[in-house]
Amino acid sequence: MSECTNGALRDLLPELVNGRLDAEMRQRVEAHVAACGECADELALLRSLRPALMREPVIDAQRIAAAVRAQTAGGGSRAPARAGNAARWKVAIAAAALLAAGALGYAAKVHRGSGTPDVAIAQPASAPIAVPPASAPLHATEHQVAVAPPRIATRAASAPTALASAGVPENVSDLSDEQVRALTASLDDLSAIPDAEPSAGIDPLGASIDDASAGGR
Amino acid sequence: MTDHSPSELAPDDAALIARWRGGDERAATALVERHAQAIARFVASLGERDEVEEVVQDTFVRAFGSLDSFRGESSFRTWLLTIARNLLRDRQRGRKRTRLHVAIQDDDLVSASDALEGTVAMETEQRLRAAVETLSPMQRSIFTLRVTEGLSYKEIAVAVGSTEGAARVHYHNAMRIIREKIDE
Repeated sequence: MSECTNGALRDLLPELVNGRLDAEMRQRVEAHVAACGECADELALLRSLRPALMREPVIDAQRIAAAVRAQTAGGGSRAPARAGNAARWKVAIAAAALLAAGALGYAAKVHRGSGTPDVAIAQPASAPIAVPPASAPLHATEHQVAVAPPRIATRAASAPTALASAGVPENVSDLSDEQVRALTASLDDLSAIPDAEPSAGIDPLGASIDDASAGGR
Repeated sequence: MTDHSPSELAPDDAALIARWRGGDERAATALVERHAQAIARFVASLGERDEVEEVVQDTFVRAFGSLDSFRGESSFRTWLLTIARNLLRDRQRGRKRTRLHVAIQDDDLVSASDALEGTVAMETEQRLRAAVETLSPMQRSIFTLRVTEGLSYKEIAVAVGSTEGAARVHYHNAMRIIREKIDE
């Protein structure tokens, strides 16, 4: 059998099988297939494979639709709002701020022991760290955490006291169970939903497939 | 070349999404019924066997919950495929075990009685499916999207988080492997 000499047309065989070619292109591909034994064989294989692959898996689309309706009751006008990029950044910043607060608390304790000021976090008065109190439970998609990134200062200050007065524990381990659950739920919520339609070649989760890995099995 | 550009939202999908945004729950049903099977095939091609319906359901729930972020720059189906892939990856991470490459199960093979009772066409179909099962998960998912949905390499690249070039190479490698298996 002669080898195909028109890779571009051969590449359109799946589109031909799926009826995705316009009339002109369909005629061109079909004419090529009529003269190319290799493409004729491949087209026959595709036409056999497609129904075989289409039959599985068997699912109950109506049941899925009913379950989706139940979970998104109210339609788009009342659908739960998505957290969005801003909320994600807030959560990320909150996590970083809490970790910094923990480190600060530890540093402060060490400092009290040594009497030598090293590094402290100066919190701008206009942007205090505010973590919701335990009495205000959070929903995973409705983050109420409002924070500002801490700044590093070169001299010791009353930062631990300031943080404590702002409602932030000096140590992460001092967070209440509810605050930890809220933060964990917030982090869990960061998965699955792409921010928008991703561009080709860009994995929304940063796990793009290397071209080099596509070189066969 | 093709009937529709990957960057365009199919009119029916756009209309249904607009209706759902307006509170019409029947539009959600129509969208699910239109795309669920394709999403299920994609999920299965990535190695999920036991919880395909659950993943498909979660995909739609997540999609409807984040429709505000969907701008129609890719097709709705491609966007769903992307969500399904991410969900599946999260689940597989959660299980802390890899199920991407699923061995052919006993009930996938043609038993003696099946062969006797079945038609030649059925046997051929089983052989074809068995050949597809030998592909790597990435090859299988790309090959399935190409053959069953007719997606372009660009659309597939978006769906699987790869590049057009890699998708093309995976497809042709998959085709070569399947032909070799069938010729054995």
